Amino acid sequence: MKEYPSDQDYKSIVEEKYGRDKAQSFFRRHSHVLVHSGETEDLANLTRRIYLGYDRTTSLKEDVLEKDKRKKATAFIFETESEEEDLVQDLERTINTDYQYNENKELEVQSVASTDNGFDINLQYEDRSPSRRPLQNTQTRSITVSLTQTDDEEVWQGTQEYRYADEFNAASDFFDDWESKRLKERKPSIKRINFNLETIPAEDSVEMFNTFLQDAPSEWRFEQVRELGIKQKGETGGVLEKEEAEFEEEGEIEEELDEQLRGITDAVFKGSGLRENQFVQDCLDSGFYFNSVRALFDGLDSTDSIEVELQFKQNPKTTFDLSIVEEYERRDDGYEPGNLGPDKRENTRKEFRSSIVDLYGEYTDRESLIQNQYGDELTQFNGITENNVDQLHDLGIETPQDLYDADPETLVEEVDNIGETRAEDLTEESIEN
Amino acid sequence: MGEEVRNTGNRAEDRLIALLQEFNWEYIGGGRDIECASRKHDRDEHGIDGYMAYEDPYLSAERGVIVESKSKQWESWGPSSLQSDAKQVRTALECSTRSEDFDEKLNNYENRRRDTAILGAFTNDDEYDHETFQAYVESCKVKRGGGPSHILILGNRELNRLASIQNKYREIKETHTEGEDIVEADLDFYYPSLQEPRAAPKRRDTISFEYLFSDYVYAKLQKTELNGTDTDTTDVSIVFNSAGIDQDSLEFLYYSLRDNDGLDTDEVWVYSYLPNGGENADETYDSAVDSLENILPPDKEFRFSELPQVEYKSYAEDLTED
Repeated sequence: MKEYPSDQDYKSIVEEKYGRDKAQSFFRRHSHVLVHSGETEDLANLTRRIYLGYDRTTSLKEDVLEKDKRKKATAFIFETESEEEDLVQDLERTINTDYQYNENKELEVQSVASTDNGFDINLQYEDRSPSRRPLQNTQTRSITVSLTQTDDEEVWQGTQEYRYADEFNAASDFFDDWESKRLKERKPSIKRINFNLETIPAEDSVEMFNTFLQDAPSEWRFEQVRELGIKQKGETGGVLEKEEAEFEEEGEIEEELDEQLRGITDAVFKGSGLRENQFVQDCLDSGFYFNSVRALFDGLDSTDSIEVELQFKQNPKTTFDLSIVEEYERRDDGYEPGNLGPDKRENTRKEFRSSIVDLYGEYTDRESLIQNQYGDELTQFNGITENNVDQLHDLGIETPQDLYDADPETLVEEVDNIGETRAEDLTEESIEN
Repeated sequence: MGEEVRNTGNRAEDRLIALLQEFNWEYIGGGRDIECASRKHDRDEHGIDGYMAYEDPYLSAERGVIVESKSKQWESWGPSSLQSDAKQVRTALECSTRSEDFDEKLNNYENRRRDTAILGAFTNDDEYDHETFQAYVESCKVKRGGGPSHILILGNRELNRLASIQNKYREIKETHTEGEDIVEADLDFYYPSLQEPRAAPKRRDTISFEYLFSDYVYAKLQKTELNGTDTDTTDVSIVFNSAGIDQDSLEFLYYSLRDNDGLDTDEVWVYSYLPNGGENADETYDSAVDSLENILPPDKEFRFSELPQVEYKSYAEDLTED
């Protein structure tokens, strides 16, 4: 390192690559500071105000590089009226042209490959943010996003494996740009819909976690819940004041959870008992839902054991991550650190991932999900804020396509803060005076 | 017996408060019980031994800090005893932000950021073992929700380190800012600028909470001296270095100064803390300093020295008697 990383360098490496848990361990080990917090950002901000020497900075950097095992798998729903052939051709046309799906990242399609029941899109981009040069070298990265047709012709299941947030973000940027590109070219729209646990009623999400644990992929048998994460529903604040007093904050309820895990493990063993567990019931009554679980599974045909972590996330990524966080070998005297090897690790992660994708599909109402997504998507256009969304809905504008088709003069007249230039921009039509 | 233990606790508390006061933190109050405002804490009250505040270089408001100190024999420290002390401090801190009682009795309704506490965990016999203590700290639980609440645990080594930094800082102040030949002089801790959200560089005579565990602590000295009938002004950048002194470490330290506006001075003084008495330290230091020859700008004077060590307990006890 020939320069000292800036406060932003440290902040972004913690925020984008290191994560909350590792940063908490880092501060505890190196600085003797216990940082009690639910937000990665709190940890990231702390790094801005201290000055780390060579050894600690190097250890931070190396920890990040060592995250290999923690490869995550995510999935989403992809919807379009277009035929597979059209989609593939559409993408192939941009290969070896100068077209970039995101210019800052030089995000390009490298290739499109057919698979059994769909196709893989290989993307390449530059992982480059000028502010974090010293800590993370600029490099060209490749990612693969797989689309697989479901029973419903217009619905595809998208999956991606990634290690770092920027890989996830690049895929997300790609779909955003592809979508608006198709709109401009007046092609049938495509839509990427993320998994959002808040769209599932809390009771159902408990059932879903329960089933996820109980019906593990063939080789694996559920042994123990190691950690359950909970979150309070965004919209319940205030309404449940009486109960809130009992669970003042997520941290405290988590502490109690630690003590309740044995009961919860038992509950999973007893069939659909998770919901009947008193503590779980208390959580639900107080407007909490489960958003993550870490559990131990034993391999039936081997001495392998693993800890799988399933995490549903909200902002800025609405998705879930599934990772194998620990690998063990079972011995007579207990669990020793083990190694699944790359192939088995990969397959296992995939099996667990499809299990949750299927379950999510069962428990969610896709129609309402799509509805929800559109509200958000409108605000992604330059100049459209949350405040405008209602006004747009009043005009019958629900989707990006609707916006594109709208009459620019109506937009200027009916929607606050949309001027002529912006209206022309959004609709690509000019206003005649 | 109970009485005696409590006394030890108070003396330990006095020492830690004296150390922080010497860093220009203000002692606001302490020795009070405040009502618990959380049912999860399993108690009616929290004892607050010390509450201090300092003017934070990067915050618009002051920062209020709960300061708690324990003094025990080595054999009484262990994972569960440290965890239980750390939890006690954490819950007290949590209630300090939500208990009306705290605002009334201690904070006087002032607007202060309250997300920080310090736990002095002092071993009062000769058995302290740093690596073992390190393991005790690592076994302490951190919550993954709420917050942020920061709890800094200071064992003997860290207390010695902070006392040594302060001792040197004070010595520089006495030697270079107070004297017959000095026309004008300032010594301050130096806080570099930050990007997004931007913060301008600051000079303060107060140490920040973060500097208590920062590998580098920067300071700046400016003095104008009489030289015959003329005056000479000298600017000095000072670094208290608690990271290593091998070549990579010192090179990195140099970059940190260069990239944080620490080289706009005539001289640079680096004081490195070498906790293990610095066996072979002189040699390591010398060869690392030699190897920096091609990197250091020739027009500046660089002085690398070992930070003289003081023993926290006697140092802080002297402070309490002042």
